[in-house]
Amino acid sequence: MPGDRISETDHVSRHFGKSRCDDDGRPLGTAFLPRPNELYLSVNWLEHTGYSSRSEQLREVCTQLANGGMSVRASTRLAVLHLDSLFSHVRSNSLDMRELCAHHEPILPQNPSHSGIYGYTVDDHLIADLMAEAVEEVHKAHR
Amino acid sequence: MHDLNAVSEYAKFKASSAYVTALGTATDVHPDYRTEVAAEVGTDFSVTTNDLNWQRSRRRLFVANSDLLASDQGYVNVLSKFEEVSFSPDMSAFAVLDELRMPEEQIRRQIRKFWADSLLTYRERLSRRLEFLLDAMEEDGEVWSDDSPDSLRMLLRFLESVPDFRYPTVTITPSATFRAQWTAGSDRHFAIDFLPDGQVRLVVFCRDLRHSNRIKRYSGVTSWDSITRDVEPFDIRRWTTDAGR
Repeated sequence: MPGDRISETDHVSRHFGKSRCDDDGRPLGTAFLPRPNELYLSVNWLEHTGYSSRSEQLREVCTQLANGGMSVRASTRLAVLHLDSLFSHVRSNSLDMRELCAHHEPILPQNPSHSGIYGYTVDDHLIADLMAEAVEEVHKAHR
Repeated sequence: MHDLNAVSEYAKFKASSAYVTALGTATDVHPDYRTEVAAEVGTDFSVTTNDLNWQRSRRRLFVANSDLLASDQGYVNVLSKFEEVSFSPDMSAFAVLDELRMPEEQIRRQIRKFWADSLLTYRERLSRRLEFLLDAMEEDGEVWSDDSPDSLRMLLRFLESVPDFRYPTVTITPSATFRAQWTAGSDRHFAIDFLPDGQVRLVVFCRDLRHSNRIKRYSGVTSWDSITRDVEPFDIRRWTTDAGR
């Protein structure tokens, strides 16, 4: 059962490693594919961190990811997505006008901003490539 | 008495060279390592051994245990660290050895072979990228799957079949398969995920030639040897080859 739905005016970040980006550090579509056994793509809800500046939000996200056992290093990165822009880009460009949605999926106590993007699977490469197109910012991960 | 009919790795052979030379029955060595082995033990394996001349009924395959060290010497020490693997007489011992290898080891061998044998202009750059991905997977704590070596094999085979294609950006999917893509903008995107059993998953974004303000998008699954035919209507050569630029 998905958690609370996140407002489309908000932003999420996706943490990805070196094997999912191009030579310039931009995320490729594979950075936005959930794992085969996952029901959603793991992201972090930036506004949930309580900070207003992007750098503080991302620093908090990195702390939460690390607390949750993720390997957060300078070589890993965070892609920032605006949910409304993302969903409308996917809806208007996918073959089946795919509707995605984001839900809050907190992992307590380590990663309270953890959330999920629902509506596609590991086989939906076209959707993942569209998501890569919708990335607004890319930042190096740091704590 | 055992015959050491195949040795999977140079390091293992090196460790067992005393055993091999003592018995004088090393009837084969993996072709990738013959030159090095010959240098090591002073034997010209390209002359004295030949896959085709194996006495098939006598073939037995031994692989080294994980605790075999390069410093191990002597018949008794080394013999105790090998384990016999049974296999069908109609199989190549090397195919059996490949199945026994860990996926990352198979991938590393494929990269080395690609580097050595390929005539593609971007061979060196792609080899470096693949090595980078191997390291990145380990650093990111990602795990290769049993399908990964086959996926890489299909990727390299496809690239060899389209030598006029430009250097692709290669990445790894969460299923640990290899994905190649050629992207030159939101209206020029072609990506191939190499799945097990010779299947591929394609994604194409391209300009609609009849309605230039629209972008056509396509995704689907096909066989690796049908890729170029299946994407022909999308005119991908305009941005995947130098000739199309």
